[in-house]
Amino acid sequence: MRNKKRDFIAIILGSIPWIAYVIVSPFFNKPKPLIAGMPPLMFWDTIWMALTSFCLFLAYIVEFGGR
Amino acid sequence: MNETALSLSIIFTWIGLTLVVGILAGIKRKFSLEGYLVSGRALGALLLYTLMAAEIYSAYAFLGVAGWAYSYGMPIMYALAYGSLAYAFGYFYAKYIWKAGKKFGYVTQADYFMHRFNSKALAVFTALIGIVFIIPYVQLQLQGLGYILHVGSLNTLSINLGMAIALIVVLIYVYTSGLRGIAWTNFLQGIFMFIIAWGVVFAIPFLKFGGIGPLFRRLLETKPQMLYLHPPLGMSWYLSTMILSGLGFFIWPHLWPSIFGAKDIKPLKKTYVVLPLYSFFMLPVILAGLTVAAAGLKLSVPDEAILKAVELVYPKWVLGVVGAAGFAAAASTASAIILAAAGLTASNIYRIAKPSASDKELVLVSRLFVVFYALLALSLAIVARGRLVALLLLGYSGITQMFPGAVLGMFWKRINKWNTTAGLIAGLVTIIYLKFFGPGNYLGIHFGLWGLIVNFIVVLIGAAFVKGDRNFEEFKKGLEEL
Repeated sequence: MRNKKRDFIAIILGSIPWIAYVIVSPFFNKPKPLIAGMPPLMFWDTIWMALTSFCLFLAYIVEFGGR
Repeated sequence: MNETALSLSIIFTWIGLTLVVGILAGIKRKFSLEGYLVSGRALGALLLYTLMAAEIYSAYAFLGVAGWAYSYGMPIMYALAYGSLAYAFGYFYAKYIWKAGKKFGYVTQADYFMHRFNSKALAVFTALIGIVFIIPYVQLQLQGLGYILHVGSLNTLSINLGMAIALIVVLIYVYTSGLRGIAWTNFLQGIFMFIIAWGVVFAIPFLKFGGIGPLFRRLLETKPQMLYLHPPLGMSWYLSTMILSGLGFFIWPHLWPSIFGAKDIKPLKKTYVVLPLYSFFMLPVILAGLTVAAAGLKLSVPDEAILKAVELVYPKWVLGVVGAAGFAAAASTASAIILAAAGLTASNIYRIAKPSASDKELVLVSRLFVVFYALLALSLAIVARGRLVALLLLGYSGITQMFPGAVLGMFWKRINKWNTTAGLIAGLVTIIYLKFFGPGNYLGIHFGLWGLIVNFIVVLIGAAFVKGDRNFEEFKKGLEEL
């Protein structure tokens, strides 16, 4: 039972990047304003590479307790 | 020494060095097909990570991404997106590939199809799909290698001659080392590529325009249409290619042997936690492509953009250093995927046709087909040269059609050989029709995703009419025992 709950939380964490890219990123499709020097879409897609890694890291912690 | 000779000698010195490492790593290997293809399932996290990273980051990421950014601008964002999507998916999915491989002794992807669906015909069919759609992937590596030698030699070598030389280097890689050797050469190459991308390529917009902000302000003034998505490569193209590639990534047959090669699940998962960070490497590459566009250069071969960007701001010999990194990226991927295609041929087509074949015979067949596929890809690269991004997406279009069988088949008892096969055929017919006879990317959605949609509909309808597949019960029981 406990394992099932962990798997569920991990899968929720793993689907966050899909939401960020497929559902949210289209709202950033405009040439201005430049954020950190970049167009909004590029900025969003770039920071989410790091945030994806972070989400999966959390999923790993949830699944294996960081070991 | 003149500039051409210096640039070329840097490239070939690096190639020579990586070859020596590959040969040393390959010497101790025993000559079984399993050893040749999956390294006896003993790869740890570090080797696994570099193997996958260097295998993933190929001529496509190094040259193709820059070329697409140079030509169109923002549509290339799909490439940043799909990597993350793929790893977030693979983090959960790869475990099942690995478990099934360990439990049932799979060496290739088609082994899974044969065992799970108890169908030799489906194994041959999926092996053929894998091989056919790996060919454009090999082709794009060869084209990229040709471009590198073309620009790296300051136009002394023609692109075709460059591709022929590259082919020989790739064959030497494959023949001397097998997967483990490739893993070790990739270890060097992965590090080298990373240093080049951040140390050399990243500086290009700074040297040319004084920073990333000034680069984009320049584009806002001169080419604002490059800074947002609009048809024909509009929002539907961006989303459909990222979904197609994000779902299809883990279906590539050449990734399965490296997943089987893992020692355990944990190193595998750790790899996918870290890999999205490695995608940052595409950022300098994209910026370099955009720099060439902002500088107003007109390129006859757009996929040479990253090399032209280097030429724009650095002395010529730097082309040799960047070329070496790109060459390493492309050659390592090319060797790994040709090896996978040849492995599929030997163990899932030849062995089914001739069950009595000895292990030694299979290795021989696999090695002969390495040459055959390499030459086939070279011929295509000469007569039907394409844009690198388009070639990769063509590959994905076919490979992703195996998604229902490869993914749903692992979890759902109603997936059997009949609905899987029907879906595959429907999907392939759809993409062939759209690509060659129809409107291509209908409604702006990539034809590969249309294929997958039709495929899914057929599989789901088929699943509604069947009871559980008996093979699935055995398959599931096997996995649970592990």
